[in-house]
Amino acid sequence: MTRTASRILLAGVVAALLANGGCATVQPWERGTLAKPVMAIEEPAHETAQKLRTYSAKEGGAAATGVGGGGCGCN
Amino acid sequence: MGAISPRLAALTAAAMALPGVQARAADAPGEHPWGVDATHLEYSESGSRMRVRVNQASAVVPIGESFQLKANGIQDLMSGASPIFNVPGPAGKTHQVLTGASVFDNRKAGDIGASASIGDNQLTLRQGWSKENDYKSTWTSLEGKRDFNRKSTTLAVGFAFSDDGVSSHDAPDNFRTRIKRDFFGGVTQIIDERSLVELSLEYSYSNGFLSDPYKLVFVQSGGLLPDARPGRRRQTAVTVKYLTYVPAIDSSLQAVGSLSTDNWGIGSGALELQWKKELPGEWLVNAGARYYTQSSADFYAPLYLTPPGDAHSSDYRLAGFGSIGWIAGVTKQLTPNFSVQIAAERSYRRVGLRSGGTGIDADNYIWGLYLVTLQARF
Repeated sequence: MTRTASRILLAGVVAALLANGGCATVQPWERGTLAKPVMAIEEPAHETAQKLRTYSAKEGGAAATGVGGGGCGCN
Repeated sequence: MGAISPRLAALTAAAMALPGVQARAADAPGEHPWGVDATHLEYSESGSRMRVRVNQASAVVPIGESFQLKANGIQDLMSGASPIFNVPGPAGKTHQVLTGASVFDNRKAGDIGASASIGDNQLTLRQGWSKENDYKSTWTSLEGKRDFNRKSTTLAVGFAFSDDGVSSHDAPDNFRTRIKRDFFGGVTQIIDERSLVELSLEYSYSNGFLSDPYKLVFVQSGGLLPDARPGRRRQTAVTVKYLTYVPAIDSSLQAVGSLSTDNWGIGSGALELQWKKELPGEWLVNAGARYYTQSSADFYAPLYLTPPGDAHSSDYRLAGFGSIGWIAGVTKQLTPNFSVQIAAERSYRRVGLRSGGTGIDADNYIWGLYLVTLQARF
């Protein structure tokens, strides 16, 4: 990934965030769809932890996935 | 107090199951008072390489209305062969040299944690340990979350500190120190009645012995040298997750994109797309694909013609490569209190998918994992 591409993506993310500042608040009675199981934004904890550990052990890059979890001598 | 109307009860129920809230349903005190999860995972690689079996169990116990204790235990059983270095082969092709298939390790890890909720704020402290024959780790993390705008927005910040020791089979008692600090910040935002977005940033700083004691590099003019990496690593990553419900197909679609960069010269990108659908009988299925690409580290080379500088590595994970894979899963709610989840992923690594730098065909391989989780909530 080139540095230019990274900067473009970061700029897009910041712009999206700023745009979100203009979002109207969705009222509680409008959140029925958001409460569906298919709309859970986080995956099951064990599955997520195991997959992230696999990626971390087999890839040289990183992702912003939250803190916690020690290292391992995975090869 | 008089009885509330059915409509108000429905609205209250909906309001309690909202993004942020829903996203950390397993964490927030008071929502799932008791919880037990048990997982078994099978991981394997093509070419008789590594095989890992994982057993994991965790429990969440409430203490009053606002506190929660958590405990988590993991056992890994690892066996198989792993690449050590590369050598030149016939017709200019580079070949891998692997360890014998007898490599075996038994990793045991665990952590305990406590969460406190005060109003719209949640604070979680965790302490963890991990131990295997040639690696030990002690870590601490602190994470805070706060809901804003009637739970339309959730902010999260976190810090973790990990103090690791690395040794090898040849010198099992000679542990060398590796320290890592993680700084995390994220925001989850409701966009509209059927869309959510989550943006996360993470910065990690590691120092100490960051080399792999089992890896070597081949120097054509002078034999083998041990893997040697810079003693400091700074990684920055950004991840964006977008989730939307599409009424036309009665399903949700999820996209997760990540970019990272570090001072070793590795730049990476990942994109994961998933489709999720509820089916009658309290089934939930998901399927998707993941694409990953990275450039090689500045000091990486498959092999070296002349003696390299202080930093040198032929580790296949520091090479330029990419991968594409599929993801699938199914969850069945057995009773109101019990559910079972099966998930699978398979990834195909190809040097031709790299985003920059160098890599070799000999490092191409396939890995797959399968896991089953039983969940209980009371």
